[in-house]
Amino acid sequence: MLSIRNLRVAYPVEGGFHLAVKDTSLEVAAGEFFTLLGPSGCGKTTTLRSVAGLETPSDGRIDIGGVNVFDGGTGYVVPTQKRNISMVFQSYAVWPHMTVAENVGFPLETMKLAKSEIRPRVEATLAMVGLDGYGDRPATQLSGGQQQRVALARALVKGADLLLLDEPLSNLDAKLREQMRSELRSLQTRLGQTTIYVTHDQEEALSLSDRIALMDGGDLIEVGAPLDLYLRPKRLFTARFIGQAEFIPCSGLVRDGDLQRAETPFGMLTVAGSDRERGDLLLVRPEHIRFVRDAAMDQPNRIRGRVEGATFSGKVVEYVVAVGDRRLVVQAASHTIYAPGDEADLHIPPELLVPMEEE
Amino acid sequence: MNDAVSGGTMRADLSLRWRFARWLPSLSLGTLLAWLVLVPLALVLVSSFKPTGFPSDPGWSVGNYGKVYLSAEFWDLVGNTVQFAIGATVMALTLGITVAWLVERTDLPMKGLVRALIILPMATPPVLMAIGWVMLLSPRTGAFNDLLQYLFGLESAPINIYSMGGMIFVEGLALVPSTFLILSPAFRNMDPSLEEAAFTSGAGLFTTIRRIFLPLLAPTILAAAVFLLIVGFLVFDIPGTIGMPVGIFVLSSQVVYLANDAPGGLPEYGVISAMAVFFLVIVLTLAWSYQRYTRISGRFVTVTGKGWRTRMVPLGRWKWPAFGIIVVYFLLAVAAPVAILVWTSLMPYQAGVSLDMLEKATLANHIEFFSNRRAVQASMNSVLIAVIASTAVALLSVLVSWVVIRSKAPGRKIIDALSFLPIAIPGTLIGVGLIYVYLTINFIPIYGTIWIIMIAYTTNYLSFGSRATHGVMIQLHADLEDAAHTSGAGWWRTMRRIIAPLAFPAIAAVWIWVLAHCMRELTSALLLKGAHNTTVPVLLWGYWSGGEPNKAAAIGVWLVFAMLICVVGWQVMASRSRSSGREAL
Repeated sequence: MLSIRNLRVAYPVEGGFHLAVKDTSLEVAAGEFFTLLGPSGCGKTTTLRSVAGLETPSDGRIDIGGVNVFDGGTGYVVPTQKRNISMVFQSYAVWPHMTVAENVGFPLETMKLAKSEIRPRVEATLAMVGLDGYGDRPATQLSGGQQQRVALARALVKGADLLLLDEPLSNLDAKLREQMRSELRSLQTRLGQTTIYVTHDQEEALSLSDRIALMDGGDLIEVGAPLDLYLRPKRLFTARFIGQAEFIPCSGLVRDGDLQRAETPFGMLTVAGSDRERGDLLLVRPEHIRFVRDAAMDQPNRIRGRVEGATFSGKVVEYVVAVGDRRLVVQAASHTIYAPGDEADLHIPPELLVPMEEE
Repeated sequence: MNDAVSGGTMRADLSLRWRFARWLPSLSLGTLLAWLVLVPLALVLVSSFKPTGFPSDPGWSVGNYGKVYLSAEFWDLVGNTVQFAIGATVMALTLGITVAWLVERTDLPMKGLVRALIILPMATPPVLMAIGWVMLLSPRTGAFNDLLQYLFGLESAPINIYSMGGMIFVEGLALVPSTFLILSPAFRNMDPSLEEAAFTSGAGLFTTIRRIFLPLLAPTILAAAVFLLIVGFLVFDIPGTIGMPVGIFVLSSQVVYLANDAPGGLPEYGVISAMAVFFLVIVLTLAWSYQRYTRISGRFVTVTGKGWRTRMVPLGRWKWPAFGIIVVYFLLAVAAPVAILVWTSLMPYQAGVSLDMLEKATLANHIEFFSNRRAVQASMNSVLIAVIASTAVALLSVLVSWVVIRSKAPGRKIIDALSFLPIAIPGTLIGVGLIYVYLTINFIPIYGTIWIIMIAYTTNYLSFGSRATHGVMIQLHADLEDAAHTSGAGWWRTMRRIIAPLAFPAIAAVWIWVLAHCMRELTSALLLKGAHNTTVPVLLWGYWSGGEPNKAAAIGVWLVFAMLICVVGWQVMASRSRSSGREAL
């Protein structure tokens, strides 16, 4: 549906160019919910705006639905309004001089539809985003969440094949954000529109996406399904950026059937279900490390330590556990009660240790 | 993060057509602006180095410069001009800030009326305001002086309008509407939460004004101050009306004097040009700082797609005294001078205000105005010139702002500079420059026609227009425009449906401002006058300086009347177009 090949976007700066996007290639399948994730300045918004035609890349090629819209080789550029896309902006960009219905109807107006055709479609779309009856309100008299819905309705109304969303939820408060998030996902599933979503919020990316492309400093770091990126990241940046990560240095990964053994400062640890033959670090997520009491002393990957500190944050308690001269961060459900100074036995399930290579 | 790749290697190899399309806006606009702005200036510069003062004549010399800059008289002139400009600026700024704050940020009563009272002085051309005040405060026949003498039993007239103080007073009054128009959008658009944060930090009203409001708006206010200084430096009407008869000259009145009433008969164009170059240097410096301040002020104030309601400061018991300030301003700037004009226009000869004279009232001067073919012709000229020039300025300004602020067209900085340069070109200079241009290039036969005056006005007011539309473009979040493109709208539809309506109040304001200024402009029209392009102010000036104040007053009354219709009509149009926008769907 969307194909980006060798995209490069350069901005002139003093003394040359700044590359906002460096040689990025992506393929997005029809109906997919695809997220561009990364810290600010990573090039995700620039990539999205290049797809929309709001930025002109320096090089590369972009095809939407098999139609070429940009070709750096020949200098071919299709202007934004001729592309089969629609977009929701971070600032909503709801036109303040129009009513809700005028805002939402505008894309249909550009398609030169008759007023009698526009009105019912606008109403249906408004109903879809939960704004039925708001059509005649001036756009400026809406709350932030409602303006967000207007912006979304405006993007949905013409049924473009590709929906672009630029951090659409970042201006909403937490509760509303969660609500809009689930509504957005169910709308997208129902309508089946291919969606490119830009965000710096990993939780949003994980919960919404079919696949995520992680970007940093203009580079595409890794592309994958949320579960894979979280549980089996290939790159250290991915492990660090998405969720929390504990790294245990290791040497000599030795395969033993489905299992692997590695020498670590915490003794010999067992890794299960990994197909990676090399590694000098073992990744483990803090919430995957378990506190255990006496039973099953013979299970592998048991570590004894002393609790140094605890931070309670509602859903979880975060403990810092000293093991020898090292520290491990462990997250446990809030009912686990240890006090600083307590001795604690930790267990890392072998299938949740991921061998990784230092970069 | 900040990888700078050395130039060249990353240059997109885009097609020729694409590159041409990128250059098209700046090239076409740039050529037009260069013709309007640079060519007249260049010819003035050339002329200043010609012994005869005429650009196409042979020979070069610096004699004109010697004649001007080595005379003590010239430096006295400069001193006068500076004094005048600073005085008028201080007065206009003090009044303008007060009024803009009262209207935009407080719960002042009857705001609609107040706005009208502030804008209305635009309907009184400065030349008329000056004539009105001369009639009120002249030491011999001034009505207000008579009144004071009668009330306090004074021997002689207490106030003499024919003085530097008198000139400053009238100019200050005349500049308040412009000051208000420059300041009020910034005052209105400032995010109220910035002020509220000060209140919640425990600051009172006056602390908040002093520590938060004024510093935040300082760039805007400084920009306004520089703008006023420039105007004070260039303006001719008021110093010409009040100062010239008694020999108080400023630079601009000296230029007009040399061009129109030169002692030797033929205008000394070389000397005028050499003097104009001095103008140019001073004003360019001011203009440069103006641009700096407006750029800084743009950073402070932005409007996104989210709207807010401005919080109004309660004035409490100061409500009515504050309202009083505005009423007094209105009396001084409009009511008093217009009243005396009406009175004088009904008199057969100039006389004080008294019951005895009321019996001699006559409509002869008015009948004369409507039956005189020259007067009718002048009115038609004025209207035609004003409508076409203001439309041209509004269109050009929107295009310039769009190219400069929104587009990524290369060369847009040059466009910006070119559109701003006219602020540094006084009416006298553009007048002289255009004389040179269209006498030299005589295959465009517009010398002595209304078209040359229209070109002068378009050039002259372009800087005002483009600054105003710049402000709007900066405040319109780029997403609003991008959203139109992603909704499928092309350039033209986006301009028409999104940019134009959002910018409409501002564009309409530009249009009416330019229209009103064209109707009342005297300086360029005086310099460019020929047999068939007399405008109303030029005709009026002729009667006034020719010693026929009653005829001048009659024309003045009708000029004020016409400008009033403009202002009211504009208000009606504006509100109608707003409501029709709502019914589009």
